[in-house]
Amino acid sequence: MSNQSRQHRAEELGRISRVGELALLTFLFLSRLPRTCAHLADLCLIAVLALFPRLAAAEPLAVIVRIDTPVTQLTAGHVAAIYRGEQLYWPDGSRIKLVNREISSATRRQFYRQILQARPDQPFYRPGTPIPIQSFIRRTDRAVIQFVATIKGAIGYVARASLTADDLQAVKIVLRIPDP
Amino acid sequence: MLDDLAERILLGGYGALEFEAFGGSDVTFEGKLEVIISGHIHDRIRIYNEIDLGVPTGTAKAEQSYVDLLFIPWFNLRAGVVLVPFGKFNLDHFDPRRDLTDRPLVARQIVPTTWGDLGASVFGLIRLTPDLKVTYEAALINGLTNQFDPPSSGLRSARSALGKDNNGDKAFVGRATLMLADQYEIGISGYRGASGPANGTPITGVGLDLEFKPRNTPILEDWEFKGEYAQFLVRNSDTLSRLSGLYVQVNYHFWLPWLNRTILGSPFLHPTLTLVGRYDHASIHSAAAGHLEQDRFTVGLNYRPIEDYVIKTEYQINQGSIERRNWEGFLASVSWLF
Repeated sequence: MSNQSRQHRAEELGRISRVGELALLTFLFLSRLPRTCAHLADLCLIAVLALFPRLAAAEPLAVIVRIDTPVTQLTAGHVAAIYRGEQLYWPDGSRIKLVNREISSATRRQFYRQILQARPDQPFYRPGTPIPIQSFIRRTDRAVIQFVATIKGAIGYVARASLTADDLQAVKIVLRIPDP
Repeated sequence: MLDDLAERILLGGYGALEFEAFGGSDVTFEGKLEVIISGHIHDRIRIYNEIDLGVPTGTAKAEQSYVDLLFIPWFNLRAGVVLVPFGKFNLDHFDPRRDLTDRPLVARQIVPTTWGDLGASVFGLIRLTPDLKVTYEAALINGLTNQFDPPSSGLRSARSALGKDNNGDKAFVGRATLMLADQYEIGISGYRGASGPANGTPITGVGLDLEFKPRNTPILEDWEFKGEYAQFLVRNSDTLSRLSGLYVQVNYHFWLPWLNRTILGSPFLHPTLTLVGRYDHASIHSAAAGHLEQDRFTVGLNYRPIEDYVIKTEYQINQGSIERRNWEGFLASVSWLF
Protein backbone atom coordinates (compact mmCIF):
# COMPACT_ATOMS: atom_id res chain seq x y z
CA MET A 1 0.00 0.00 0.00
CA SER A 2 1.59 3.30 -1.06
CA ASN A 3 1.84 6.31 1.25
CA GLN A 4 -0.72 8.18 -0.82
CA SER A 5 -3.28 5.38 -0.64
CA ARG A 6 -2.64 4.95 3.10
CA GLN A 7 -3.25 8.65 3.63
CA HIS A 8 -6.37 8.56 1.52
CA ARG A 9 -7.82 5.51 3.24
CA ALA A 10 -7.07 6.91 6.66
CA GLU A 11 -8.74 10.22 5.77
CA GLU A 12 -11.88 8.38 4.77
CA LEU A 13 -11.73 6.32 7.95
CA GLY A 14 -11.13 9.33 10.17
CA ARG A 15 -14.21 11.02 8.91
CA ILE A 16 -16.46 8.18 9.86
CA SER A 17 -16.31 7.86 13.63
CA ARG A 18 -14.40 8.63 16.79
CA VAL A 19 -12.80 5.18 16.69
CA GLY A 20 -11.80 5.96 13.14
CA GLU A 21 -10.28 9.24 14.35
CA LEU A 22 -8.25 7.31 16.94
CA ALA A 23 -7.05 4.94 14.23
CA LEU A 24 -6.12 7.96 12.11
CA LEU A 25 -4.06 9.51 14.89
CA THR A 26 -2.32 6.19 15.49
CA PHE A 27 -1.64 5.80 11.78
CA LEU A 28 -0.28 9.34 11.44
CA PHE A 29 2.05 8.76 14.38
CA LEU A 30 3.32 5.40 13.15
CA SER A 31 3.65 6.40 9.50
CA ARG A 32 6.16 9.07 10.36
CA LEU A 33 8.45 6.58 12.08
CA PRO A 34 11.00 4.42 10.22
CA ARG A 35 9.90 1.83 7.69
CA THR A 36 9.11 -0.96 10.14
CA CYS A 37 6.63 1.23 11.96
CA ALA A 38 5.06 2.30 8.65
CA HIS A 39 4.19 -1.38 8.15
CA LEU A 40 2.61 -1.29 11.60
CA ALA A 41 0.49 1.60 10.35
CA ASP A 42 -0.87 -0.64 7.59
CA LEU A 43 -1.61 -3.38 10.11
CA CYS A 44 -3.37 -0.83 12.31
CA LEU A 45 -5.70 0.21 9.51
CA ILE A 46 -6.38 -3.37 8.48
CA ALA A 47 -7.16 -4.38 12.07
CA VAL A 48 -9.59 -1.50 12.59
CA LEU A 49 -11.39 -2.26 9.35
CA ALA A 50 -11.59 -5.95 10.23
CA LEU A 51 -12.93 -5.29 13.75
CA PHE A 52 -15.28 -2.52 12.68
CA PRO A 53 -16.47 -3.45 9.15
CA ARG A 54 -19.22 -0.85 9.34
CA LEU A 55 -16.52 1.81 9.29
CA ALA A 56 -15.85 0.83 5.67
CA ALA A 57 -19.54 0.91 4.80
CA ALA A 58 -21.59 3.59 3.07
CA GLU A 59 -22.48 6.93 4.61
CA PRO A 60 -24.77 9.84 3.75
CA LEU A 61 -23.64 11.83 0.74
CA ALA A 62 -24.43 15.34 -0.41
CA VAL A 63 -24.54 16.70 -3.93
CA ILE A 64 -23.14 20.22 -3.88
CA VAL A 65 -22.99 23.17 -6.26
CA ARG A 66 -21.41 26.61 -5.98
CA ILE A 67 -23.41 29.00 -3.82
CA ASP A 68 -24.36 31.22 -6.79
CA THR A 69 -25.68 28.38 -8.98
CA PRO A 70 -29.34 29.09 -9.85
CA VAL A 71 -30.81 25.90 -8.39
CA THR A 72 -31.89 25.17 -4.83
CA GLN A 73 -32.98 21.55 -4.99
CA LEU A 74 -32.38 18.72 -7.44
CA THR A 75 -33.98 15.32 -7.57
CA ALA A 76 -31.96 12.13 -7.89
CA GLY A 77 -33.26 11.85 -11.44
CA HIS A 78 -32.00 15.33 -12.29
CA VAL A 79 -28.58 14.59 -10.86
CA ALA A 80 -28.47 11.31 -12.79
CA ALA A 81 -29.39 13.13 -16.01
CA ILE A 82 -26.61 15.64 -15.38
CA TYR A 83 -23.99 12.96 -14.80
CA ARG A 84 -25.17 11.07 -17.91
CA GLY A 85 -24.58 14.20 -19.98
CA GLU A 86 -28.26 14.71 -20.82
CA GLN A 87 -28.40 18.16 -19.21
CA LEU A 88 -25.50 20.41 -20.17
CA TYR A 89 -26.52 23.82 -18.81
CA TRP A 90 -27.93 25.41 -15.68
CA PRO A 91 -31.12 27.51 -15.98
CA ASP A 92 -29.05 30.67 -16.38
CA GLY A 93 -27.28 29.16 -19.41
CA SER A 94 -23.95 28.53 -17.74
CA ARG A 95 -22.28 25.24 -18.58
CA ILE A 96 -22.43 22.43 -16.04
CA LYS A 97 -19.00 21.14 -15.04
CA LEU A 98 -19.03 17.66 -13.54
CA VAL A 99 -16.72 16.65 -10.72
CA ASN A 100 -16.17 12.98 -10.03
CA ARG A 101 -14.11 11.02 -7.56
CA GLU A 102 -11.61 8.48 -8.83
CA ILE A 103 -12.97 5.07 -9.87
CA SER A 104 -11.58 3.23 -6.81
CA SER A 105 -13.24 5.64 -4.36
CA ALA A 106 -15.91 4.19 -2.05
CA THR A 107 -17.76 7.51 -2.34
CA ARG A 108 -17.94 7.20 -6.10
CA ARG A 109 -19.03 3.58 -5.83
CA GLN A 110 -21.90 4.58 -3.54
CA PHE A 111 -22.93 7.58 -5.67
CA TYR A 112 -22.90 5.57 -8.87
CA ARG A 113 -24.87 2.73 -7.27
CA GLN A 114 -27.53 4.91 -5.66
CA ILE A 115 -27.96 7.67 -8.23
CA LEU A 116 -26.84 6.20 -11.57
CA GLN A 117 -27.62 2.52 -10.88
CA ALA A 118 -24.23 1.71 -12.33
CA ARG A 119 -20.79 0.38 -11.49
CA PRO A 120 -18.22 3.06 -10.64
CA ASP A 121 -16.36 2.43 -13.90
CA GLN A 122 -19.49 2.56 -16.05
CA PRO A 123 -18.97 5.15 -18.77
CA PHE A 124 -21.85 7.12 -20.26
CA TYR A 125 -21.50 8.10 -23.89
CA ARG A 126 -22.70 10.95 -26.03
CA PRO A 127 -25.12 9.46 -28.61
CA GLY A 128 -23.46 8.73 -31.93
CA THR A 129 -19.95 8.91 -30.51
CA PRO A 130 -17.65 6.65 -28.48
CA ILE A 131 -16.77 9.60 -26.24
CA PRO A 132 -17.54 9.20 -22.55
CA ILE A 133 -19.11 12.17 -20.77
CA GLN A 134 -16.18 14.21 -19.45
CA SER A 135 -15.71 15.09 -15.81
CA PHE A 136 -13.02 16.55 -13.59
CA ILE A 137 -11.52 13.98 -11.22
CA ARG A 138 -10.68 15.02 -7.67
CA ARG A 139 -9.25 12.54 -5.18
CA THR A 140 -10.59 13.72 -1.84
CA ASP A 141 -13.78 15.29 -0.56
CA ARG A 142 -11.83 18.41 0.39
CA ALA A 143 -10.56 18.74 -3.18
CA VAL A 144 -14.10 18.33 -4.53
CA ILE A 145 -15.42 21.02 -2.18
CA GLN A 146 -12.62 23.41 -3.16
CA PHE A 147 -13.24 22.82 -6.87
CA VAL A 148 -16.99 23.30 -6.62
CA ALA A 149 -16.52 26.45 -4.50
CA THR A 150 -14.15 27.92 -7.03
CA ILE A 151 -15.43 26.95 -10.47
CA LYS A 152 -18.63 28.46 -11.78
CA GLY A 153 -21.15 25.84 -12.81
CA ALA A 154 -19.46 22.94 -11.02
CA ILE A 155 -21.38 20.11 -9.37
CA GLY A 156 -19.91 17.35 -7.23
CA TYR A 157 -20.69 14.86 -4.47
CA VAL A 158 -19.06 14.40 -1.08
CA ALA A 159 -19.66 12.70 2.23
CA ARG A 160 -22.04 14.93 4.12
CA ALA A 161 -19.84 14.76 7.20
CA SER A 162 -16.97 16.38 5.33
CA LEU A 163 -18.82 19.70 4.89
CA THR A 164 -18.04 22.35 7.48
CA ALA A 165 -19.93 25.52 8.33
CA ASP A 166 -17.28 27.51 6.42
CA ASP A 167 -17.77 25.31 3.35
CA LEU A 168 -21.49 26.11 3.33
CA GLN A 169 -20.65 29.78 2.78
CA ALA A 170 -19.21 28.85 -0.62
CA VAL A 171 -21.23 25.79 -1.67
CA LYS A 172 -24.79 24.59 -1.10
CA ILE A 173 -26.36 21.16 -0.84
CA VAL A 174 -28.91 20.47 -3.58
CA LEU A 175 -29.51 16.78 -2.87
CA ARG A 176 -29.06 14.69 0.24
CA ILE A 177 -28.36 11.02 -0.44
CA PRO A 178 -29.03 8.80 2.58
CA ASP A 179 -26.77 5.86 3.32
CA PRO A 180 -28.28 2.74 1.73
CA MET B 1 -3.58 29.62 -25.96
CA LEU B 2 -2.36 26.03 -25.90
CA ASP B 3 -3.79 25.51 -22.39
CA ASP B 4 -7.12 26.94 -23.52
CA LEU B 5 -7.13 24.69 -26.58
CA ALA B 6 -6.27 21.63 -24.49
CA GLU B 7 -9.20 22.37 -22.22
CA ARG B 8 -11.63 22.72 -25.11
CA ILE B 9 -10.48 20.12 -27.67
CA LEU B 10 -10.04 16.38 -27.13
CA LEU B 11 -7.99 14.09 -29.32
CA GLY B 12 -8.72 10.40 -29.31
CA GLY B 13 -9.44 7.49 -31.54
CA TYR B 14 -10.11 3.85 -31.85
CA GLY B 15 -8.69 0.93 -33.73
CA ALA B 16 -9.30 -2.69 -34.53
CA LEU B 17 -7.36 -5.61 -35.90
CA GLU B 18 -9.55 -8.37 -37.33
CA PHE B 19 -8.74 -11.92 -38.30
CA GLU B 20 -11.00 -14.25 -40.24
CA ALA B 21 -10.64 -17.80 -41.44
CA PHE B 22 -13.47 -19.23 -43.52
CA GLY B 23 -13.49 -22.37 -45.57
CA GLY B 24 -13.61 -21.20 -49.15
CA SER B 25 -11.72 -17.93 -48.69
CA ASP B 26 -8.28 -16.67 -47.78
CA VAL B 27 -7.26 -16.31 -44.17
CA THR B 28 -6.92 -12.58 -43.65
CA PHE B 29 -5.99 -9.82 -41.28
CA GLU B 30 -7.84 -6.54 -41.66
CA GLY B 31 -7.59 -3.37 -39.67
CA LYS B 32 -9.18 -0.08 -38.92
CA LEU B 33 -7.79 3.08 -37.38
CA GLU B 34 -9.88 6.16 -36.71
CA VAL B 35 -8.96 9.50 -35.20
CA ILE B 36 -11.50 11.46 -33.20
CA ILE B 37 -11.21 15.18 -32.64
CA SER B 38 -13.98 16.68 -30.55
CA GLY B 39 -14.69 19.45 -28.15
CA HIS B 40 -16.24 22.85 -27.61
CA ILE B 41 -15.21 25.99 -29.45
CA HIS B 42 -17.78 27.81 -27.33
CA ASP B 43 -19.96 26.67 -24.44
CA ARG B 44 -22.85 26.39 -26.92
CA ILE B 45 -20.93 25.18 -29.99
CA ARG B 46 -19.27 21.79 -30.13
CA ILE B 47 -17.50 19.93 -32.89
CA TYR B 48 -17.04 16.25 -33.62
CA ASN B 49 -14.78 14.70 -36.24
CA GLU B 50 -14.26 11.00 -36.85
CA ILE B 51 -11.65 10.38 -39.52
CA ASP B 52 -11.09 6.91 -40.95
CA LEU B 53 -7.36 6.78 -41.71
CA GLY B 54 -7.89 4.43 -44.61
CA VAL B 55 -6.55 1.14 -43.27
CA PRO B 56 -6.50 -1.04 -45.38
CA THR B 57 -8.11 0.81 -48.30
CA GLY B 58 -5.44 3.51 -48.45
CA THR B 59 -8.05 6.29 -48.71
CA ALA B 60 -8.76 8.39 -45.65
CA LYS B 61 -12.27 9.75 -45.29
CA ALA B 62 -14.48 11.57 -42.82
CA GLU B 63 -17.09 9.28 -41.30
CA GLN B 64 -18.50 12.14 -39.26
CA SER B 65 -17.52 15.79 -39.21
CA TYR B 66 -20.08 18.18 -37.88
CA VAL B 67 -20.72 21.18 -35.68
CA ASP B 68 -23.55 21.41 -33.14
CA LEU B 69 -25.26 24.61 -32.06
CA LEU B 70 -26.84 23.83 -28.70
CA PHE B 71 -29.98 25.84 -27.91
CA ILE B 72 -32.24 24.01 -25.48
CA PRO B 73 -32.51 20.33 -24.50
CA TRP B 74 -35.30 19.60 -26.97
CA PHE B 75 -34.01 21.61 -29.95
CA ASN B 76 -30.46 21.82 -31.31
CA LEU B 77 -28.91 22.17 -34.76
CA ARG B 78 -26.26 19.99 -36.41
CA ALA B 79 -24.55 20.48 -39.78
CA GLY B 80 -21.75 18.80 -41.70
CA VAL B 81 -21.06 15.14 -42.38
CA VAL B 82 -23.67 13.68 -40.08
CA LEU B 83 -24.15 10.10 -39.02
CA VAL B 84 -27.45 9.24 -40.69
CA PRO B 85 -30.02 8.76 -37.90
CA PHE B 86 -31.40 5.44 -39.08
CA GLY B 87 -31.26 2.44 -36.77
CA LYS B 88 -29.41 1.98 -33.52
CA PHE B 89 -26.44 0.10 -34.96
CA ASN B 90 -25.38 2.91 -37.28
CA LEU B 91 -25.28 5.32 -34.34
CA ASP B 92 -23.35 2.86 -32.18
CA HIS B 93 -21.12 1.20 -34.80
CA PHE B 94 -17.80 1.63 -33.00
CA ASP B 95 -15.69 -1.53 -32.90
CA PRO B 96 -14.59 -1.30 -29.23
CA ARG B 97 -18.20 -0.84 -28.12
CA ARG B 98 -19.46 -3.93 -29.98
CA ASP B 99 -19.31 -7.46 -28.63
CA LEU B 100 -18.75 -9.28 -31.94
CA THR B 101 -16.24 -8.64 -34.70
CA ASP B 102 -18.66 -8.90 -37.62
CA ARG B 103 -21.48 -6.45 -38.14
CA PRO B 104 -24.98 -7.87 -38.52
CA LEU B 105 -26.18 -8.46 -42.09
CA VAL B 106 -28.91 -5.88 -41.63
CA ALA B 107 -26.20 -3.34 -40.74
CA ARG B 108 -24.17 -4.12 -43.87
CA GLN B 109 -26.44 -4.92 -46.79
CA ILE B 110 -29.69 -3.25 -45.70
CA VAL B 111 -28.69 -0.26 -43.55
CA PRO B 112 -25.30 0.49 -45.11
CA THR B 113 -23.26 1.26 -42.00
CA THR B 114 -21.20 3.17 -41.40
CA TRP B 115 -23.62 5.55 -43.07
CA GLY B 116 -22.70 9.21 -43.02
CA ASP B 117 -23.76 11.94 -45.42
CA LEU B 118 -23.58 15.67 -45.98
CA GLY B 119 -26.55 17.37 -44.47
CA ALA B 120 -28.13 19.13 -41.54
CA SER B 121 -30.29 17.90 -38.71
CA VAL B 122 -32.21 18.96 -35.66
CA PHE B 123 -32.08 16.85 -32.53
CA GLY B 124 -33.13 16.91 -28.94
CA LEU B 125 -34.31 15.22 -25.80
CA ILE B 126 -37.69 15.59 -24.09
CA ARG B 127 -37.98 14.37 -20.53
CA LEU B 128 -41.49 13.06 -19.85
CA THR B 129 -40.79 11.88 -16.28
CA PRO B 130 -37.54 11.59 -14.30
CA ASP B 131 -37.06 8.08 -15.75
CA LEU B 132 -38.77 8.33 -19.15
CA LYS B 133 -37.47 10.36 -22.04
CA VAL B 134 -37.95 10.74 -25.76
CA THR B 135 -35.05 11.59 -28.07
CA TYR B 136 -35.18 12.44 -31.73
CA GLU B 137 -33.01 13.43 -34.66
CA ALA B 138 -34.38 14.47 -38.05
CA ALA B 139 -31.99 15.14 -40.94
CA LEU B 140 -31.97 16.40 -44.51
CA ILE B 141 -29.12 14.77 -46.43
CA ASN B 142 -27.99 14.26 -50.02
CA GLY B 143 -29.25 10.69 -49.75
CA LEU B 144 -28.60 7.31 -51.33
CA THR B 145 -27.70 7.05 -55.00
CA ASN B 146 -28.91 4.48 -57.54
CA GLN B 147 -25.63 2.51 -57.55
CA PHE B 148 -26.93 -0.93 -56.60
CA ASP B 149 -24.25 -3.06 -58.18
CA PRO B 150 -23.82 -5.88 -57.34
CA PRO B 151 -27.33 -6.67 -56.02
CA SER B 152 -25.89 -8.82 -53.23
CA SER B 153 -24.21 -5.75 -51.75
CA GLY B 154 -27.65 -4.29 -51.08
CA LEU B 155 -27.52 -0.56 -50.41
CA ARG B 156 -23.80 -0.45 -49.53
CA SER B 157 -22.81 0.71 -52.98
CA ALA B 158 -25.56 3.34 -52.97
CA ARG B 159 -23.95 5.49 -50.26
CA SER B 160 -23.14 8.95 -51.56
CA ALA B 161 -19.41 8.81 -50.67
CA LEU B 162 -19.79 12.48 -49.65
CA GLY B 163 -19.74 13.51 -53.30
CA LYS B 164 -21.95 15.94 -55.15
CA ASP B 165 -25.64 15.09 -55.02
CA ASN B 166 -26.66 13.06 -58.08
CA ASN B 167 -30.13 14.62 -58.16
CA GLY B 168 -31.86 17.75 -56.93
CA ASP B 169 -33.84 15.82 -54.36
CA LYS B 170 -32.77 15.80 -50.75
CA ALA B 171 -33.52 12.77 -48.61
CA PHE B 172 -35.32 13.03 -45.30
CA VAL B 173 -34.33 10.61 -42.53
CA GLY B 174 -35.02 10.47 -38.84
CA ARG B 175 -35.09 8.36 -35.73
CA ALA B 176 -37.03 8.72 -32.50
CA THR B 177 -36.54 6.73 -29.33
CA LEU B 178 -38.31 6.10 -26.09
CA MET B 179 -35.92 5.39 -23.21
CA LEU B 180 -36.76 4.15 -19.75
CA ALA B 181 -34.24 4.70 -16.94
CA ASP B 182 -31.45 4.87 -19.53
CA GLN B 183 -31.58 1.05 -19.63
CA TYR B 184 -34.42 0.17 -21.99
CA GLU B 185 -34.59 1.77 -25.42
CA ILE B 186 -36.95 1.38 -28.36
CA GLY B 187 -36.32 3.27 -31.57
CA ILE B 188 -38.15 3.81 -34.81
CA SER B 189 -36.55 5.14 -37.98
CA GLY B 190 -37.70 6.34 -41.39
CA TYR B 191 -36.04 7.30 -44.69
CA ARG B 192 -37.38 8.80 -47.90
CA GLY B 193 -35.46 10.13 -50.89
CA ALA B 194 -34.91 9.84 -54.62
CA SER B 195 -31.88 7.81 -55.60
CA GLY B 196 -31.64 8.45 -59.33
CA PRO B 197 -31.69 11.62 -61.43
CA ALA B 198 -34.95 13.44 -62.22
CA ASN B 199 -36.61 12.21 -59.04
CA GLY B 200 -36.72 8.63 -60.30
CA THR B 201 -36.22 5.45 -58.26
CA PRO B 202 -37.45 6.76 -54.90
CA ILE B 203 -36.29 4.79 -51.89
CA THR B 204 -38.30 4.52 -48.68
CA GLY B 205 -37.18 2.73 -45.56
CA VAL B 206 -38.43 1.93 -42.08
CA GLY B 207 -36.59 0.53 -39.11
CA LEU B 208 -37.27 -0.68 -35.60
CA ASP B 209 -34.61 -1.26 -32.98
CA LEU B 210 -34.50 -2.12 -29.32
CA GLU B 211 -31.88 -2.49 -26.67
CA PHE B 212 -32.37 -3.70 -23.11
CA LYS B 213 -29.43 -3.27 -20.71
CA PRO B 214 -30.72 -3.58 -17.16
CA ARG B 215 -28.48 -2.28 -14.41
CA ASN B 216 -28.55 -2.64 -10.63
CA THR B 217 -31.05 -5.52 -10.88
CA PRO B 218 -29.87 -8.90 -9.53
CA ILE B 219 -29.41 -11.56 -12.25
CA LEU B 220 -30.91 -9.39 -15.01
CA GLU B 221 -28.01 -6.94 -14.86
CA ASP B 222 -25.73 -9.66 -16.30
CA TRP B 223 -27.81 -9.84 -19.47
CA GLU B 224 -28.28 -7.63 -22.51
CA PHE B 225 -30.75 -8.04 -25.33
CA LYS B 226 -30.69 -6.10 -28.57
CA GLY B 227 -32.20 -6.32 -32.00
CA GLU B 228 -32.94 -4.38 -35.13
CA TYR B 229 -35.20 -4.72 -38.17
CA ALA B 230 -35.05 -2.64 -41.34
CA GLN B 231 -36.83 -2.69 -44.68
CA PHE B 232 -36.23 -0.59 -47.79
CA LEU B 233 -38.34 -0.36 -50.97
CA VAL B 234 -36.72 0.81 -54.20
CA ARG B 235 -39.19 1.80 -56.92
CA ASN B 236 -38.59 1.90 -60.67
CA SER B 237 -35.23 0.13 -60.45
CA ASP B 238 -34.04 -2.70 -62.66
CA THR B 239 -31.58 -3.83 -60.01
CA LEU B 240 -33.19 -3.81 -56.56
CA SER B 241 -36.79 -3.70 -55.41
CA ARG B 242 -37.10 -4.77 -51.79
CA LEU B 243 -34.54 -5.30 -49.06
CA SER B 244 -35.12 -6.36 -45.48
CA GLY B 245 -33.15 -7.76 -42.60
CA LEU B 246 -33.02 -8.26 -38.90
CA TYR B 247 -30.78 -9.40 -36.10
CA VAL B 248 -31.34 -10.47 -32.51
CA GLN B 249 -28.49 -10.71 -30.06
CA VAL B 250 -28.13 -11.81 -26.45
CA ASN B 251 -25.11 -11.02 -24.28
CA TYR B 252 -24.29 -12.61 -20.95
CA HIS B 253 -21.61 -10.88 -18.84
CA PHE B 254 -19.77 -12.91 -16.23
CA TRP B 255 -16.47 -13.40 -14.52
CA LEU B 256 -14.72 -16.41 -12.98
CA PRO B 257 -13.34 -15.47 -9.54
CA TRP B 258 -10.30 -17.74 -9.89
CA LEU B 259 -9.18 -15.60 -12.84
CA ASN B 260 -8.40 -12.84 -10.33
CA ARG B 261 -5.33 -14.88 -9.40
CA THR B 262 -4.16 -14.75 -13.01
CA ILE B 263 -2.83 -12.01 -15.25
CA LEU B 264 -6.28 -11.79 -16.87
CA GLY B 265 -7.82 -10.44 -13.69
CA SER B 266 -5.30 -9.30 -11.11
CA PRO B 267 -4.22 -5.96 -12.67
CA PHE B 268 -7.78 -4.83 -13.47
CA LEU B 269 -10.62 -3.39 -11.41
CA HIS B 270 -13.58 -4.94 -13.20
CA PRO B 271 -12.62 -7.32 -16.02
CA THR B 272 -15.49 -9.05 -17.81
CA LEU B 273 -16.10 -12.05 -20.02
CA THR B 274 -19.13 -11.93 -22.31
CA LEU B 275 -20.87 -14.81 -24.06
CA VAL B 276 -22.68 -13.62 -27.18
CA GLY B 277 -25.25 -15.28 -29.39
CA ARG B 278 -26.67 -13.66 -32.52
CA TYR B 279 -29.01 -14.60 -35.34
CA ASP B 280 -29.02 -12.59 -38.57
CA HIS B 281 -31.33 -12.69 -41.56
CA ALA B 282 -31.27 -10.64 -44.76
CA SER B 283 -33.44 -10.76 -47.87
CA ILE B 284 -32.85 -8.92 -51.17
CA HIS B 285 -35.27 -8.96 -54.10
CA SER B 286 -33.60 -8.11 -57.36
CA ALA B 287 -34.91 -8.21 -60.94
CA ALA B 288 -31.37 -9.02 -62.10
CA ALA B 289 -30.36 -11.62 -59.51
CA GLY B 290 -33.71 -12.94 -58.28
CA HIS B 291 -34.47 -13.47 -54.61
CA LEU B 292 -31.35 -13.60 -52.42
CA GLU B 293 -31.44 -14.65 -48.78
CA GLN B 294 -28.93 -15.21 -46.04
CA ASP B 295 -29.13 -16.63 -42.53
CA ARG B 296 -26.25 -16.43 -40.11
CA PHE B 297 -25.67 -17.86 -36.64
CA THR B 298 -22.85 -16.52 -34.52
CA VAL B 299 -21.56 -17.59 -31.11
CA GLY B 300 -18.81 -15.60 -29.47
CA LEU B 301 -16.81 -14.98 -26.33
CA ASN B 302 -15.02 -11.74 -25.56
CA TYR B 303 -12.72 -10.54 -22.83
CA ARG B 304 -12.68 -6.93 -21.60
CA PRO B 305 -10.03 -6.14 -19.01
CA ILE B 306 -11.29 -2.56 -19.14
CA GLU B 307 -14.28 -1.04 -20.93
CA ASP B 308 -12.16 0.42 -23.75
CA TYR B 309 -10.20 -2.69 -24.74
CA VAL B 310 -11.67 -5.96 -25.95
CA ILE B 311 -10.50 -9.26 -27.42
CA LYS B 312 -13.29 -10.96 -29.35
CA THR B 313 -13.57 -14.50 -30.70
CA GLU B 314 -16.54 -15.96 -32.55
CA TYR B 315 -17.66 -18.83 -34.71
CA GLN B 316 -20.07 -18.21 -37.56
CA ILE B 317 -22.33 -20.49 -39.57
CA ASN B 318 -23.79 -19.14 -42.83
CA GLN B 319 -26.58 -20.36 -45.06
CA GLY B 320 -27.60 -18.43 -48.14
CA SER B 321 -26.56 -16.52 -51.21
CA ILE B 322 -25.76 -12.95 -50.13
CA GLU B 323 -22.53 -12.91 -48.14
CA ARG B 324 -20.21 -15.81 -47.24
CA ARG B 325 -22.78 -18.14 -48.80
CA ASN B 326 -22.69 -21.42 -46.87
CA TRP B 327 -19.34 -20.97 -45.25
CA GLU B 328 -18.48 -21.70 -41.66
CA GLY B 329 -15.54 -20.05 -40.02
CA PHE B 330 -13.75 -18.34 -37.20
CA LEU B 331 -13.25 -14.64 -36.54
CA ALA B 332 -11.24 -12.84 -33.92
CA SER B 333 -10.33 -9.24 -33.27
CA VAL B 334 -8.67 -6.84 -30.87
CA SER B 335 -10.26 -3.46 -30.51
CA TRP B 336 -9.40 -0.42 -28.41
CA LEU B 337 -10.53 3.11 -27.72
CA PHE B 338 -8.53 6.02 -26.33
